[in-house]
Amino acid sequence: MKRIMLLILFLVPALCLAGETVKVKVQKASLFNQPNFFSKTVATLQFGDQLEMEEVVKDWAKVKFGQQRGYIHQSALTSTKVDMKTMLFSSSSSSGASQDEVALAGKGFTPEVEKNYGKAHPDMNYALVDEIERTSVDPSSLRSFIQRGGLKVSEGQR
Amino acid sequence: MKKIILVLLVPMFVGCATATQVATTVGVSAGYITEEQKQAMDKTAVKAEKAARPVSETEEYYIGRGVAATILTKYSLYRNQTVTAYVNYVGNTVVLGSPRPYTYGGYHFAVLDTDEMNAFACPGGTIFVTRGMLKMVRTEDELASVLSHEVGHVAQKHGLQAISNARWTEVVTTLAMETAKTYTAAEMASLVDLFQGTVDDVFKTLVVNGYGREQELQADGLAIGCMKACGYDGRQFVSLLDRLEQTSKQASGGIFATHPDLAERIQAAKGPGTAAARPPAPEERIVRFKKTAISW
Repeated sequence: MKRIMLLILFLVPALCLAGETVKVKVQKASLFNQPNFFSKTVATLQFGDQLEMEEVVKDWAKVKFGQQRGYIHQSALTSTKVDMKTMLFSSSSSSGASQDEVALAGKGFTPEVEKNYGKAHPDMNYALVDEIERTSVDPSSLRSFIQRGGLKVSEGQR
Repeated sequence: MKKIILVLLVPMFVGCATATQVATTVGVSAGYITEEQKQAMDKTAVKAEKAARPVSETEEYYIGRGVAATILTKYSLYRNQTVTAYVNYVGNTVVLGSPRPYTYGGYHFAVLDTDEMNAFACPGGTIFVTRGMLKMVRTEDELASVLSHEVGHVAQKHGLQAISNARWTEVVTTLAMETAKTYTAAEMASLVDLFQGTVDDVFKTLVVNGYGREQELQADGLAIGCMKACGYDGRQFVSLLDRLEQTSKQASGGIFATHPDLAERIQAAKGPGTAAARPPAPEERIVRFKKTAISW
């Protein structure tokens, strides 16, 4: 009986943690008024912002952020639920995890680790990497580039 | 009985390892388990949670930065604003057609100043294309082919799959020992070593050995999907591969060392996504390509 109790105590966390809150797992993302990258931006979201999931439309999630409603591409979101199937059966570096990415931030390979790695390897030119990351494409210019090139704004592959 | 139910319900409101710790604490106070059993269960829960976890989005970002920095020790960056801006426009267009348009740090495209023909996708979304490869492409659609293939590698996290299982297990085991939020000097030194090994694993796959056959075919499939979603001509994906294969008969190194199975990829790429005729590219697309191509 005691063994069964121990087993239940250990396994119960796997069967719980239901919730509808999702978090932004990227540095910056837009909340749009339509499920489209070039629709009006309702709000700019930051890493860790919590959203209330309302509906899924193809690759997009309709969410509530404070008093605002809008659409965000699902690749920018992480579940706050822990997916035990992923935890128990996934390979070490496989894709498609649905762990709480925000909770994992600050663990493992962090800016502090990078800083120490850079100190130990001065030949690594992180300033150049920063320079590449500062290169950004303005959304309105990109929209013009797409339209003038006879291309189209994708609504996703699925 | 109420106590048993309480013990079982507590984990439903908190995180997994934390939940186990709360549950075991209640279990000890209720007399169901001993303190020693509690400690063993807590330790196992923390280890199980971390040992099984994949690389997080933020870790992917820092690994990618490390790989990019390593690539930049081998190649010089080509600093031409017109070329870099154009490559970023085409790249970000295909990103919008990919299944993973968002990564932690976003996608960034840069050009390497070498005649070697190649392109590299660092985990997290920094993508390099060489001037040699740019000289090989003849249209914006062919450039989109190259970039969308690399975006496909990022979307599928192929770079991370290069990390050896043994190394990642060591990373998570080290983290499982972590008790405080800040690392001790010894823990940090160990993590820095593991970080270097991880970056080296990915770098070797990207630059020296190349991805596996399955990963290349998967990236091709995603690339064709990206191109179709954005309105680029998928047939030009095949025409570029054809030309690369012809070139491979007289060349070696670069893309021909890291992407050896071109004939098989061409066969696999020929399908509905690359067969349908598309309207010719508008003048604007042709002109902007030609105007930029003279600078690479």
